[in-house]
Amino acid sequence: MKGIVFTEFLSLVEDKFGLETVDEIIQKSELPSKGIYTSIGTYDFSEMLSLLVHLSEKTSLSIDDLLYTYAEHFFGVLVNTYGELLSRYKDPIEMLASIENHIHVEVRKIYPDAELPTFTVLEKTTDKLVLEYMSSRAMYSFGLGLMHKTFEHFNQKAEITLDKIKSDGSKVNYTIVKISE
Amino acid sequence: MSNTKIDILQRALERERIARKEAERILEDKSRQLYELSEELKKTNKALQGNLSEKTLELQAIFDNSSLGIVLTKYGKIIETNKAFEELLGFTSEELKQMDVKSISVSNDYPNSRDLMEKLNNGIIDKFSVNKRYVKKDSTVIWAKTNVAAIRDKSGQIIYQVALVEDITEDLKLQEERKELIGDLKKKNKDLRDFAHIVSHDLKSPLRSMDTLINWLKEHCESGDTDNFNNAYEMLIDKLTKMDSLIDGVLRYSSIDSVEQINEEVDLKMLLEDTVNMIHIPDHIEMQLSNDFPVINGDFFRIQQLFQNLISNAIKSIDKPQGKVSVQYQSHDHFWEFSVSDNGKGIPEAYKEKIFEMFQSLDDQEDSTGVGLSIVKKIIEYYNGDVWFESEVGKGTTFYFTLKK
Repeated sequence: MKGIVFTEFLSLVEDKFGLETVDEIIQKSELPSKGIYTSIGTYDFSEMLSLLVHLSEKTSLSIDDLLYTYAEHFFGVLVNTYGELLSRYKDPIEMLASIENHIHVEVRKIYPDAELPTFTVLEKTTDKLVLEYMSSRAMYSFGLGLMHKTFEHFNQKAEITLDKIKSDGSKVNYTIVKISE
Repeated sequence: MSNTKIDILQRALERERIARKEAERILEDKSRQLYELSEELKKTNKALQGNLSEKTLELQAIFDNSSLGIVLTKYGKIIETNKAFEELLGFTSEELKQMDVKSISVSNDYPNSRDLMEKLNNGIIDKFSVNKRYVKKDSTVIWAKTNVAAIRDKSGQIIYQVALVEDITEDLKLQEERKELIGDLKKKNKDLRDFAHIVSHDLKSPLRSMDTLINWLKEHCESGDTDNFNNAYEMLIDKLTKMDSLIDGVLRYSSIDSVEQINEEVDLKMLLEDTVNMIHIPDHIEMQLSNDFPVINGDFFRIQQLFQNLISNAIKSIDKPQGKVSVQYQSHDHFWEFSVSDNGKGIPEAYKEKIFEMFQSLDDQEDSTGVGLSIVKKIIEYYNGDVWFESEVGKGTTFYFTLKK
């Protein structure tokens, strides 16, 4: 997993819960990297899982809620770093529908070894999109946070419902319906 | 600050320090990789450039030394030419680069090659070949076989048209000469066949009649029948005369283009008066000659044969109590047009095609050999003129012919 996901995560934890919490979850997780991350490095996904588990224990917040909040923060990072890529889109549905065929293609150009989830378009109209998410990491809540932020980015609103096709969350359908004002 | 807090801060600091070093190491690695990659690219680039300049040199050598003219054009403008093309037209490379294809083409040929060029530009065809003329610097014209191909970029857009130009003026001249030679040969062959035809058929028919007549003579002589004897004798003499004139005609016909060419001034007025005196003109036929005939260049004997045959035919054709034969002429820019008309019996439509062939006689007149008009035609062909006629059955015929000035 790309280092930026770890560094941004820890900086968010520090902002929300303080340096003590950062220190505690790192100590408890017994990480191979010893919690030393740089945004340009690559680290094992299991480290993120350990950090999340210990943060969840410490804060009594569910992992899904933590991931959702992190996604909201991470969208800002993406806008800052890849604003040019996002500005090619005029519509959130169009953008979400092209994750697989455009955004991920661009990501692989920059990070050839990136391990990405797949997003398959199951249904698409101008107001509705059904996306199938597939990843062994089961970070569907992270995806959900990013999707809500995407609509916010375009000053639009949407109702997004989540159906777990597999109970472990490695296959999930998002039904995204634009709310017209 | 509590010790715990100091510990936490120290740990955080330690993590940041190591992370920074890690980041520096990663960046160092990346920049080394980039450096190596760029060195490799430089090497590849150099090798490619080497290949390219080698290829360019090879192509330049072909371009410079080709015996075919090579022209690179862009939408009709000349961009580049090789030495062979410059030498072909006598222009320098600089002069040609100021010109377009149209200005070195013959205007009649240009639309055809322009149409093909448009098809090429529109991608309908990819190459074409035309034989067209080019105008040299000294304004003379050469014929050249021109192969044009489109050079396109990756997206299929035409960048240039390249034309390979081969001078075929000499080839065409040789072809033309060969054609003329073959034409001559064919004509000679036909003449030979006509000769064979005379011997095998036309000379045999009077011979057969003579054979019969001699048998009659023998019979009449034995029976002492002097009246019929004399009659058959006269007929035999007639046949002999006919045969003599036939042989004479054949000789005259065959001598038309075998005799050495004579080109002298011929006063046609004198020639015609002479000719009319030579031919027996019956009393009931009126001869009309134009008052002034020109003086032309040619062979007196042949031109006399020409008029003599036409006038004799005209006289022979007259079947009316009051006959009229008229010889007239008109002067045109490049040729004389003569006419010989009569008020005779005319030529039926069915004979129109055959009339100029040898031994085609309209009827079995005793004094008609069928050689006359073929002689007329041969003489006129010899002088590159034309001959034709207008006729109405029962009213008369006018023969026209032209002689070049």
